[in-house]
Amino acid sequence: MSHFNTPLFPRRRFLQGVGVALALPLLDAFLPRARGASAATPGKKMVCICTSLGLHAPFLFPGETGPDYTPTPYLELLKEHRKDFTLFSGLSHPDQNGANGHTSEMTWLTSARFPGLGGFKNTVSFDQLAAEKIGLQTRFPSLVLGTGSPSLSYNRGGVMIPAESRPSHVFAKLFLDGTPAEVKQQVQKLREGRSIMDTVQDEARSFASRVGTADREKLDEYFTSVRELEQRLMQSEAWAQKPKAKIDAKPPRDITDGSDLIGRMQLLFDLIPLALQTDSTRLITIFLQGANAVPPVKGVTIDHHNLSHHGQQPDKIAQLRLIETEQFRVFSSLLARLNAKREQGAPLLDDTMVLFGSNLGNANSHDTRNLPILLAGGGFKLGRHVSFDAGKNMRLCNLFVSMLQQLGVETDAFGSSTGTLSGLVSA
Amino acid sequence: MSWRHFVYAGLILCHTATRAHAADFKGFFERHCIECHDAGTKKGDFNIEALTWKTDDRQSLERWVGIFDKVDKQEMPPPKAKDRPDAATRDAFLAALRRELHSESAVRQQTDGRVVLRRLNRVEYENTLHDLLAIDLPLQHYLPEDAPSHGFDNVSEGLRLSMLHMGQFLEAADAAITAALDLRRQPEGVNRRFRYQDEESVTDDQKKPADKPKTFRILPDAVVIFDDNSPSTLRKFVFKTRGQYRIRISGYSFQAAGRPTWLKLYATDFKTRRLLGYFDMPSDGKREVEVVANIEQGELLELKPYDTNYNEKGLALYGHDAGTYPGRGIAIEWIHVEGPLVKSWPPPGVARLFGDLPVKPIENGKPGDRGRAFTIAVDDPLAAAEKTLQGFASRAFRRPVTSEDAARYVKLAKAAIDGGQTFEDAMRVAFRAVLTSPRFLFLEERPGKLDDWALASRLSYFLWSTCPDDELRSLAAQDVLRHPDTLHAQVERLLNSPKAAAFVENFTGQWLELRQIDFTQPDRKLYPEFDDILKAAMLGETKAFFAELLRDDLRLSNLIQSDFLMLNRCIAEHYGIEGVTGEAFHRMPLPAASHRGGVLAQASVLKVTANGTATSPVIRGAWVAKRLLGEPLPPPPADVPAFEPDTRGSTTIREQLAKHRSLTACARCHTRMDPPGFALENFDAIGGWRDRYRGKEGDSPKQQFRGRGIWEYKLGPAVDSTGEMPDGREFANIDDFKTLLLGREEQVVRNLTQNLLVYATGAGMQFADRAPVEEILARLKTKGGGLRTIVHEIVQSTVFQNK
Repeated sequence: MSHFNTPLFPRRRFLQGVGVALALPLLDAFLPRARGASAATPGKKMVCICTSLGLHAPFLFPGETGPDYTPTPYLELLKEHRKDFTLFSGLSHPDQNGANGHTSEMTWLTSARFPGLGGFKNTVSFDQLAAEKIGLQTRFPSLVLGTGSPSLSYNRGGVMIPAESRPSHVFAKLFLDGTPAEVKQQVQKLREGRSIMDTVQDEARSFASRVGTADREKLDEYFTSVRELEQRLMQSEAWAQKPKAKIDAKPPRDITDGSDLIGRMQLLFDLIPLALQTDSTRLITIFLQGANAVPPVKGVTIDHHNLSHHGQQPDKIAQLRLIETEQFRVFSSLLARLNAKREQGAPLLDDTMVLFGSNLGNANSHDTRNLPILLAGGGFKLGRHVSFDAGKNMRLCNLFVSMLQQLGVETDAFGSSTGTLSGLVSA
Repeated sequence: MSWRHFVYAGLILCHTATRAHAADFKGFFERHCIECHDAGTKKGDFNIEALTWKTDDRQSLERWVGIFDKVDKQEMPPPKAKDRPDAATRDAFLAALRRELHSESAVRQQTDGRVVLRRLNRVEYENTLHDLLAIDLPLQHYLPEDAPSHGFDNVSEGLRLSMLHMGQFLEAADAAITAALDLRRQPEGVNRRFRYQDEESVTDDQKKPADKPKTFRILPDAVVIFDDNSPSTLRKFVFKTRGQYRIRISGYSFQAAGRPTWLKLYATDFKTRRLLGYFDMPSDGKREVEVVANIEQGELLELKPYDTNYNEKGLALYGHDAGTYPGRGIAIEWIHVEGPLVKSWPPPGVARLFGDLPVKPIENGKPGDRGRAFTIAVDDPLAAAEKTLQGFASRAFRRPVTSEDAARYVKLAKAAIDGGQTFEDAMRVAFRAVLTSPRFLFLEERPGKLDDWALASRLSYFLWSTCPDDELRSLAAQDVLRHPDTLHAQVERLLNSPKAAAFVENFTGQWLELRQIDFTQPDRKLYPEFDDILKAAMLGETKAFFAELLRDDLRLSNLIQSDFLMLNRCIAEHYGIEGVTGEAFHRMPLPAASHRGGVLAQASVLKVTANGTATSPVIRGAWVAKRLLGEPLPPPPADVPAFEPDTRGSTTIREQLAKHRSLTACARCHTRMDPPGFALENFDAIGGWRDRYRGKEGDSPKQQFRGRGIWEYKLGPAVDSTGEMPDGREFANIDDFKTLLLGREEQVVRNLTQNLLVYATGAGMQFADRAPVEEILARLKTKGGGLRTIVHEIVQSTVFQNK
C-alpha cells in the first residue's frame, strides 16, 4: 500500500532553500491542508483513455439498454464493476472524415472537424481546457501518456502535446528527487531559461516592428508561447525545490518491445493510481496506439492494425478478440485498483472519472460514428447501457461538458456540444 | 432579404476597392444558378443568396473561387440543367470573375505577402543546426511532429508554435551547443580490422561438443553464416563514443550456385535496430563494401545474411550443421571500423561558435574544468562576447546583424559573467538565446520583392532543406544573387550537390506520400517476400526515379509512362526482371511486355495506397486524382454509410463497389475515383504483379521467389483490371489506362508545378498564383524541358521571388 498522506513540506524550509529573490507563485499545495479524506484526494480527477483501432462492436454493445442488459463478451470481463460504469452507444463527433482513416485520433478529445484536411487546425482538447482551470493546483497540470509520441491532448493553440511513453521516466518525474547538486543545477537551468525568454521577447518586439500585419499574428503565437513558458519555468522552479511525493512502489521497467501493446498499457495504467493518490496531477490522458506489429498475445499471429481491417474474416475477428479481451482485462484491473478501499478516505474511483473508448466505431471501415465510449467512476449514477440513435448520433462533446462540470469547470459548452448529456446525473 | 439585394449589397460595399462587375455576376446567377441554389433549395448545401463579397474574409473569397472553378470545369450548371450558359456567356462571366479574384488576391499578396511568417520545421531545424554548428547529433526528436498543411510540413499555416515548442527549442539548443562545444580531450578513435572468426559468437560455437550441430563454418579465410537467425551482433565493437564511423566489410556469397546473396548491416542497441545498408555479395569473388554512418554510443553492429536458410519448398531450416550444410550462406572475412571521423580537434563546432578566439589546452587540469582539456582563452570577456555574438548571430539569423542587434545577447552573457559564471558557460546562455530567437526560428521576409538574403534562404530551404552556405551568403552580401543568370547558376549548383537529396526525400515523401510506407505492415502470410530491404528498395526506386527526371530534365509524361526504370537487384526481382545486380539503382530500358514504367506502377506508390492485406481501388483512385492529377475529391458525405470491407472472398471488391456506385450520392465521385483503381488491380498490396488474388483458398503457387518455394498462401480468383473512364472510354488493363492518362499530361505538369511552388515557398496556392503557373506551363510547351526546367522556372518566377 502506498502512502498518500505525504507530509506537507514546511513553507519555512522552502523559503530558506530558495532565497528571497524568488517570486512565489500561488500554489495551493503550499497551503496548509487538513488531514483526513479530503486531504488525500482534494478535488475531482479525470483519466481519458483511447485505444486507436476501435473495439469490435458486436462483442461490446448489448442488445438491451438500461441497467438490466445481458453482458456481452467484453462487458462480461467488467462484470465485477458493473455498477461503476456506463456504456454509451450512438455517440460521436460530427464531420470526422479526415485526411485518412485514422485522423480522428487527433480529435477524439477536441471534436475539431475534418481532421487533417486542407486548412485543418486542431482545437484544445477538453482535458487541457480543464488543466487550465485546475492544473495549477498540482505539480503537473496534467499527465499526457501514450504508447508512442502521439497523444490525445492538444493545447489551446491546437498543438499536440507529445505523450511520454516511458513509464520509468514518468515515475522518476513524479516520485524521484534529484541530489541537491542536481536540483541546484536544474534550478540554474530554469533561471537561465527565464532570462533567455526575456531576451528573445525583446528581440521579438523589435522584429514585430519590421514585419507586416499577417506576420504579426504569427508572431503573437511566439509571444504567447514565450510568456507561457516563462510562467511555467517559474512554477517548475518552485516545484523543483519541493520534495516529491513518497511512495512505496518500485520504479517500473520499461517494455522496449514496441509490439507489446498490452504490456505497455499495463505499465502506463499502473501509474494512474500512484499519480492520483499522491495528488501529483488530477488529469491524465493515455493514447494506446495499436501497432503494425503482432502483439505477443497467445493465439495472435497477425498484426493488430491488419486485424482491425478484418474484412469480416472469422479467423481475423477471433484474433482481434484475443487482443481486445486482454485490453479489457487490463482496464478491469485498473478499475479494481481505483476502487480499492483505502486507509483513509473513499476509493479513488469515487472522485475519478475514467473515460475509456476509441475514436473509431468500426475500424474495419474507418467509421468514426457510433463510438465505443465507457465512463466509470467520478460520482455519477452509472451501471447501465445508454443508447443513442445509431443513425443520427448524439454529440460526444455533450458528455465532455458533463464531465467538465463534474470537474468543477464552469462551462456549458465545449467543441461541438449542444448541451450536457441527457441521462447522466451525479449520484 | 432578397438574394439580389444581398449579393448586390456585398458587391457594392467593396465596389471602390475592386471595381466589382456586379451586374455581370447578378445576371448570370439569376439565369443559371438560382433555381437550385436559392435559400430554400440550397442544393449541395450551397445557398447563393447568402453569398457575400468580403475581401477580408478568406472563407467568403474561397466560396467565390469555388464558383469560378465549378463553372470553369463546366461541372456547374450541371450538364443536365435546362439553363446552361452558352460558351460566350460563360467565358464573359469567368473573365470578369477571374479579374476580380486575381486583383483581390494580388493586392493582398502585395501588402501582406503570400507567405505568412514561416518557422523552420523540425527537419529544417535539425539540418540548420547541423550545418551551423558542424554537428550530427539527432535533434528532431526534441520537437513535436509538424502538421502538414496544403500537403507539406513546411507550409507556414501548419507550423504552429506553443509553449511546448519553446521549451523544447531551449532543450534542443542546449544539446546542440553541448555537442558543438566539445572541449574534452579528443576521444580515442578506433581504426581496427578484425577477423570474423575471432568474434565471440563464432568462438563459442566452435567450443560446442562435437555431437552438437555448429552454427558457423570456419573456412581458411572466412566464416560462413547460413542462418538468418544465428547470433549476429558483433560484440567485439562496442561504440564508446557517438559519431560518424566508416565501416568496411569483406565477404562473398558461399555455395550459392553462381547467385549473389544479400548481406544486411544493422546498428542495434537491442531495443531498436537500424538498417545501415544492404549489399549484394557476389559468388564469383570477394567484395569489399563500405558504409559511413552515424553510430550512437553503446550501439553494436549486426550482420545478417538474407533468405539463406530456406529449402525449395520455402520452409525455414533449423538445427542443421554448418559443417555439412549444402545450402548457400554468406562468408565474412573481416570487418573494419574506423572512427569517430573527425577532421580536427577540438571539433569545428568550437570555431563555429567562437570564431577565431584562441582555443588553448588546459595545462594542469583542475576539478573545476569538468573534464575539459581545452579552454577558450580571452583577455577581455566583454569585447570577446561582442565580437563572437555578432558573428554567430549573423550566421544563425541568415543575414547581417548589427552590433546594436547583437547587444541584447551580449547583455545576457554579461549578466551571467557578472553572476560568476565562466566565459564559456556565460556564452552558452547567449548562444541558446540566439537559437531560440524569432530571427533564427522564423524566415525573415518583408512584403514585396525579397532581398538577396531572404532569397538565399528561400532557395536553400527549397533545394537543401537547410540554411544558405557560404557561397549563397557571399552572393547575397554582394547583392547579386537575384540576377537571373546568377540564380540559374546557383540552382544548378544546389541541384548538383549531394545536399539536394533532401529535396528529393522531403518533396517525394509528401507529394507521393512515401512517408506513409510504414502505415501498414503487409500480412506476413500473404506477402512473405516483404521485408526491410524490399521496403528500402521500394523507396529507393521512386527517389532514384524522381532524381533521374530532375538530373536529365525529363518530361513529366514519364510520371505516367516511362521507357526506362530505375532498378537494383532487389526491386528488379520483385518486378520479375532478371539480370540486374547490386544494391545501387541504375537506369535500365523498360523491358518489352513489362507493365512497369511511370510512378503508378512503382511498388512504393502501390504499397502506400494499400493496407497490409488488401488493395482498395477507391484509395488508389483517390491517390491518382489527388497526387497525380491535382483533383482532390471531397470526403464521403456524412449521411452515407461507410463502405464496409469484406474480404472473405464471397464477393469481390468490384461487386461491392458496384453496389456502392449504384447509390447516386456515391456515384458522382466514385465514377471518377474507381477507374484508376481498377486499372491498378493487377498490382498487389506490396506492388507485385498478380493475375490472381492471393488468399487462404485456391491453388498452390508454382512460382518461387529468391530461390525458394511458397507455402504461405494460395491463389484465388482471377484479377479483372478492366474499367471505363468517366467519359466512357474503356481500358483493358494498366497499359491501356496509362495510354489514356498520357492525354492528360498537361494536368500532371500543372499539378506538379503547383505542388513544387507550395513546397518551394511554404504557402498554399492562391488565386493570383494561377496566372504565373500558366505562364510556366506555356513556356514549357514552347521551349520544351522537364522537371529541372520547372525548378528553374519556379525560382525565376515572381511568386518565388516575392514574399
